[in-house]
Amino acid sequence: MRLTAFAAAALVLFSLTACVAVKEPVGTSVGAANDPALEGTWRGGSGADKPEGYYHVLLNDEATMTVVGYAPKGGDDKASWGTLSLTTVQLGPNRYMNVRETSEDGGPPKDKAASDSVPLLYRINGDTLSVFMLDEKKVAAAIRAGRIAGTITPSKVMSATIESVAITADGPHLDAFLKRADAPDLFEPVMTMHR
Amino acid sequence: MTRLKYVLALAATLGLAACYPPTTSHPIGTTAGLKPDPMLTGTWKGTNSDGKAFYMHFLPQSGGTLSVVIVESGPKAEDWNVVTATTVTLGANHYMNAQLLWTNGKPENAPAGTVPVLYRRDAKGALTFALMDETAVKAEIAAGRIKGTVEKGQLGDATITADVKWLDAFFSTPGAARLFASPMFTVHRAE
Repeated sequence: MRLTAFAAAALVLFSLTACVAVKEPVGTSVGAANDPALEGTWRGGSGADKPEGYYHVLLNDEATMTVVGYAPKGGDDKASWGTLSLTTVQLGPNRYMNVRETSEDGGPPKDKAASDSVPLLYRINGDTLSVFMLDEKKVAAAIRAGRIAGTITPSKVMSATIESVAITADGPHLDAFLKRADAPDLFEPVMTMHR
Repeated sequence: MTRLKYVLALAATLGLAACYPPTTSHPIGTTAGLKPDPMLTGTWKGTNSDGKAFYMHFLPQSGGTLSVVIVESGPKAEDWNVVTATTVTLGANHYMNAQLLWTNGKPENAPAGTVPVLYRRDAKGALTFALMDETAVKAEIAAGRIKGTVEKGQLGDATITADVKWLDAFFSTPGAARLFASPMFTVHRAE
């Protein structure tokens, strides 16, 4: 599965990064709860060669959050904006967010895959927010080792073979797996932001 | 009467405003040529009447419009809005023709026409926005000095219906700027 950019240039967070599909959002066994530490405005995430974007996190009722993102013009990319829907959950020592793109430049997401919920690990250290995405190769290894239920589907793209990785475990099993202290080892850094 | 929580999304300060601000049935500046003011492009930051910080992101769009994304920030921040606008300079006056599109992700049912906004940037870089003074506009319409309509009742909305040629000539004058109320808020560049 591939994700489009969040609001074009805005979401370097997901920009064309291959990611691991999950059957259910993270945290269904315990329920989502808004993390107030995320509330407010974060900057960053556009890469070293581009100006920083803005990510405004607003806490809604019913344990959801809205992220309004703005990416200034940079390189060949036009300035753009978009919105995400976010839920957060804490499993053991690990904090996760389920992220779904809800709009892009005032319209629906241009890539339908972006409407799928994506699990991300995050850490807040002072005024720094670090976001991590499941690493396909590490998850594939975990699936092959029988540590988590999932599928690995090879396909040919041009002359290369790529693997689409999906976790098929149900919510309780996924949560138990991601609650482990070593679960962050399956993730790779994708974005760092600051207040 | 149309109630607004945020007038053209710019207006946190008008959060409790009873009426929609005066509108024009035609945008100001069509005879002079509407084009996005590059000075506005980018991000600005201010504080609304509730003491909450807010950001304004101005994005030029194809077709000569600007998208303006306004977002509250900080604890208890709740609201965000999207406005589409065109800009023009007439004489010494800088105007925006604004339409509120979205409030908190939902389409707004704003009245037809556009809201004239007078904006100025001072020597220190502060950018201010002012809406037309509703009482003054209604008085001008009643006196026949501006062609327009006023809905019934104390809170009836005022619409300037003059044609584009008259609009541009009038809004080029210093007198037009005096029909605008005190700036509703000030923002500074955030980048």
